[in-house]
Amino acid sequence: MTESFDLLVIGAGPAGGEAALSAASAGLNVALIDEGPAAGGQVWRAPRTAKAKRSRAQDPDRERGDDLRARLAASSIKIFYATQVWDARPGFRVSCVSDAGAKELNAPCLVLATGAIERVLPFEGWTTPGVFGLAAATAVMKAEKALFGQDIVIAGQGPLLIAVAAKACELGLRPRAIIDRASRSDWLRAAVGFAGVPSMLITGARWMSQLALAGIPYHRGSEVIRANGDNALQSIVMSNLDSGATEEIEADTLYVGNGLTPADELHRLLGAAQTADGLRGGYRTIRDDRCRSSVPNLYVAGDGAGVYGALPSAIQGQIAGLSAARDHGALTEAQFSARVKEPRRKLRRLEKFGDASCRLMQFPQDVTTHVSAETIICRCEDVTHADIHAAIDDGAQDLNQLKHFTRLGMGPCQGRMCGLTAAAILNHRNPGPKTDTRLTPRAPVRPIEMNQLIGDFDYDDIPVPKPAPL
Amino acid sequence: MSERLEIRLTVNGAPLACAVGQTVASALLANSSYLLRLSPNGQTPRGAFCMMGACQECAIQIDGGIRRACQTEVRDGMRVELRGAADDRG
Repeated sequence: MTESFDLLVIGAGPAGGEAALSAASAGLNVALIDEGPAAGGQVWRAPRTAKAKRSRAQDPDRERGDDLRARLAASSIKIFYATQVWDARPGFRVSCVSDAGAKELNAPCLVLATGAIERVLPFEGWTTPGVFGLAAATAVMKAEKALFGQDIVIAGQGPLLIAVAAKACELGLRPRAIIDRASRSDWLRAAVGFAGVPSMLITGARWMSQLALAGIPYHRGSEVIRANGDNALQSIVMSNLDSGATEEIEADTLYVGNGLTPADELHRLLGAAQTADGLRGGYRTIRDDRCRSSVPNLYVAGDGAGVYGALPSAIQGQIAGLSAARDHGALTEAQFSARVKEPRRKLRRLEKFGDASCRLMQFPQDVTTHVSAETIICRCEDVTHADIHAAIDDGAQDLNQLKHFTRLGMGPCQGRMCGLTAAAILNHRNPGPKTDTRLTPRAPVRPIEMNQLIGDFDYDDIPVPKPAPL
Repeated sequence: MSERLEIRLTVNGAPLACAVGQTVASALLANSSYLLRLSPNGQTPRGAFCMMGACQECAIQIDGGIRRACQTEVRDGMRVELRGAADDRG
């Protein structure tokens, strides 16, 4: 089944939702696609269970999400929820699957607003059931007002760490420990950047004081180096980054995350130019001040192009939607300029906050030097740290070669979980000019089954070609 | 306040009650079923990890197809099979 529109928007988070709304308000016929059951993305995620829907706890993200969902529901936008994009081709043709079967959506303009994924620094035993990403905790708390685990440890770095810890306390849980890679001075340096957005600074300070008040042990300048347990997590071992002193903490559940990175498979698949992001690590997609990528009529907004957070993403989305409407001829240059003026002003202020947050999520290139040889780096294919070093010894110089040598990145996650870590190992082993440390993107960008594409059919539906004459 | 558990799944044939709006992954986790499968190469135990559809660790048999448990909403009568996990490791 094929449907055509003026504009397709992939991702219904803050960036994609606003992009679709601003383009539709300018008169474009817009389709919005998201793999989730409702708009909001990760940060403005919709409550899913009755318990979460009932909750009246004050939550700005929930309010912003509810507002976005209400405006989308009242709009003319054709929304495809619970729909998985697995390929995008120039022109643009976007292939999706849902419970309703396979679908192709076409439009001359495309906005990519695919958001971020979490990066997690590997450590021994991080594949043990009971070890989760930090963002997993926020996803479940927002959707269900619940968090799994009795003896919970929360670890990693960046603003999400204290957000998760504080929200867990609000649910009545008492984490056994919070383990932060950042030191007190890292936070103070970041606070200077946060000062431009006082409301965020106040929220952060309130979370910190809630944790201090609750008496949750807070270990700064420390990281988790091992998860113990076979079929289930039993304990974690924490190490101080300066002294190397270790301590074992009993835990059945660990939430650990080291910041965010763009979910940019589609950007790369469509050939949008990228640049190494020195501050954030990894790459970001190049865009002009109208959110146009290097590919004509391809617009990029939000964390999928470079991580700045939900509020800047929403504004980038507005600009991208207006920009698409301008290029499609629905707005004059004067109308466009008048409508982007205010968003651009807000964006400049908010992006400074994004930079400060990202400083707390930095990922040093030598970060894997203490990771043991037997630690799994590529979770899908069980490729260990030692396997990667052996492949580099054998001459692997970039990520694609590492993939050929070891199968790293060849599994169902397509390198999303291991790519940045493997790139850091490569860069550390091969000092000097940096080679391109990205895996070549390929469709399908998410695993799909053939029978999802084929759908249901009867024997009689199968076309039988006329036999060739003998 | 606890959830009303109105939906029944079967997990390896055994019933599991869960709430409307839960995902298969959260229903299993709320029941302390952390072990979902074994990794195909190393046969190491795995559970859900990212809970946002990216890592594919929770891809298990749901109603006969392989689906990500964290992205699949529970439905009455849904059949979930933890192949490998329960069979091979007891």
